[in-house]
Amino acid sequence: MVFPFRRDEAQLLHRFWFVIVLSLVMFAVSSCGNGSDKTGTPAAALRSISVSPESPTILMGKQQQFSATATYSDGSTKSPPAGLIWTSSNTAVATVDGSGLAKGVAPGNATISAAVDSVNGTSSTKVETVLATLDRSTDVAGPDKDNNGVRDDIDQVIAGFGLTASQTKGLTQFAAALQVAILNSPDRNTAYSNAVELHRGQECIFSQLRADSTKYTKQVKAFTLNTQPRVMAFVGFSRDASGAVYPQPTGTVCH
Amino acid sequence: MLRQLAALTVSVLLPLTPLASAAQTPGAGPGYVICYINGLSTDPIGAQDGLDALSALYGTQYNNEPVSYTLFYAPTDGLTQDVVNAFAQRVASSPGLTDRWELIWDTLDGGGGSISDLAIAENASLNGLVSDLRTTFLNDVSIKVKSLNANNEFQPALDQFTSALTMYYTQQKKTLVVAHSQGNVYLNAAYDTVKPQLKTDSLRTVHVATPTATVRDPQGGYVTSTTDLVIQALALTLGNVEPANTEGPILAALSSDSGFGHGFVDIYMNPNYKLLPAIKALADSNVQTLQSPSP
Repeated sequence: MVFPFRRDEAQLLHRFWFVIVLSLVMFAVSSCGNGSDKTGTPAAALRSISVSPESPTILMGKQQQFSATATYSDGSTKSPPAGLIWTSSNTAVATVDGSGLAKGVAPGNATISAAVDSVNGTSSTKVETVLATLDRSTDVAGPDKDNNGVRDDIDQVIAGFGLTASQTKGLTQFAAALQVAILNSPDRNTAYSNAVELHRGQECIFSQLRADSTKYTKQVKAFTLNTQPRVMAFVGFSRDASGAVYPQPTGTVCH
Repeated sequence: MLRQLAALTVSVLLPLTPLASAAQTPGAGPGYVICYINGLSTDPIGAQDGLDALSALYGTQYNNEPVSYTLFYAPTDGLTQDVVNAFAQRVASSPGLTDRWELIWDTLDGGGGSISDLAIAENASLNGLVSDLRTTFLNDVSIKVKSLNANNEFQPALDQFTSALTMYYTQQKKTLVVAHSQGNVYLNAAYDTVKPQLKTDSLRTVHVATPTATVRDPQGGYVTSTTDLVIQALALTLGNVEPANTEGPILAALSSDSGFGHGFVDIYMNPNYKLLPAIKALADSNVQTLQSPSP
């Protein structure tokens, strides 16, 4: 086979065609990026932004991830273009960061907005304390779907404290002992035994958090004893447990 | 003289004997026992918190001897029941709005308001409920303490406490009892009962926020805050109460931080106030001079 060009001329020709092809590819890509479709018509304009979830309730101190969806003039929906800005109408109630992650600061209402230039979308947000979501059923026990001896809403309260696994376990031990105390203290002897277990739970969490432990045990107590039947059950337990001598629990206090 | 010499010899030689190591093991040997008698409107959880606060002061050893702790849980049901009744009346008058029984614990636990603050922030109309509860509590305090001795729960509880103190005496334990609020009424009565049996100063007392006219232990002492609203209310009713002797925290009119200025853990054992150093100094002076019980 005979080559019509010399070797260096062939290489030069290859480079020429490579540059041509590369230029065409870059042109096509940049055309898409400039809002033109395959036919070369202008891209659809951003018409609106929707924010979801629409009306969430955030517990105080908890976070809620918001997302934004853009709707274009051709009816298509997709992620908003770059430059999306998140804001809160009342940062004393809820704050939101640049990724749409909001945090409940205090009880109240706020509007979370996402905007690009003059186009924006909003979501009405209500921040509540954990008080608003406590179980208030008429029975003393309340729901305990995971059968760990602690009411499910109290499990959530404890999980929300952000303690270590060991501290959470200790506080759950305390909460379970409190639940037993209000459910099953029919006489003074049983009340005494239940008080001893309750104190063991306290000592378990006290051994880990020292003076800070009361901050958590007080809340668990108040949130557990949040209806009249539960308060009355605890008052009865306390009465039956009183007038007695309780040596400080020692040894292994955590289960 | 012979007995003193023997005691001196034992105290000098004791560290050289195998018994010395046993004496340094918490729970082994007689050592010390520190007891706590709770005040009014205290449930078993709050009472144990008080004992924990005391255990944080002395730990498990003192003078190379073990220290153990015991709670004398005094009955407080009457006052609690009155506040519960007051709350129930408010709920009945505006059901739904006020049916948040968790709010009652701020008042019963001493008037501080961390949970009340949350609820009021959510619904400002709950503010009146919280104020009413606190007023009910203060109004009832003096009535309950005044009639404490006549309460049919008083004597059985006192018998339990004095039995325990007698047991510590037979176990050769040096005993310090710290009482708070109405617990001081029990402590005075227990001291009067047990003290005649003792041959040495093996029992000492520390009175905190006492609603009594005197403290029986002549070596004992008391600490009462100048801003304790409960003791001030009691003084108005009872007339003859040991006067306040230690500067308390400045109270922002029943604020959530300080409540009634009366709580044992939140106020008196709070390291931010001058009350704790006063209690510690009093307790130290008593513990240092405690003597072993003589058989």
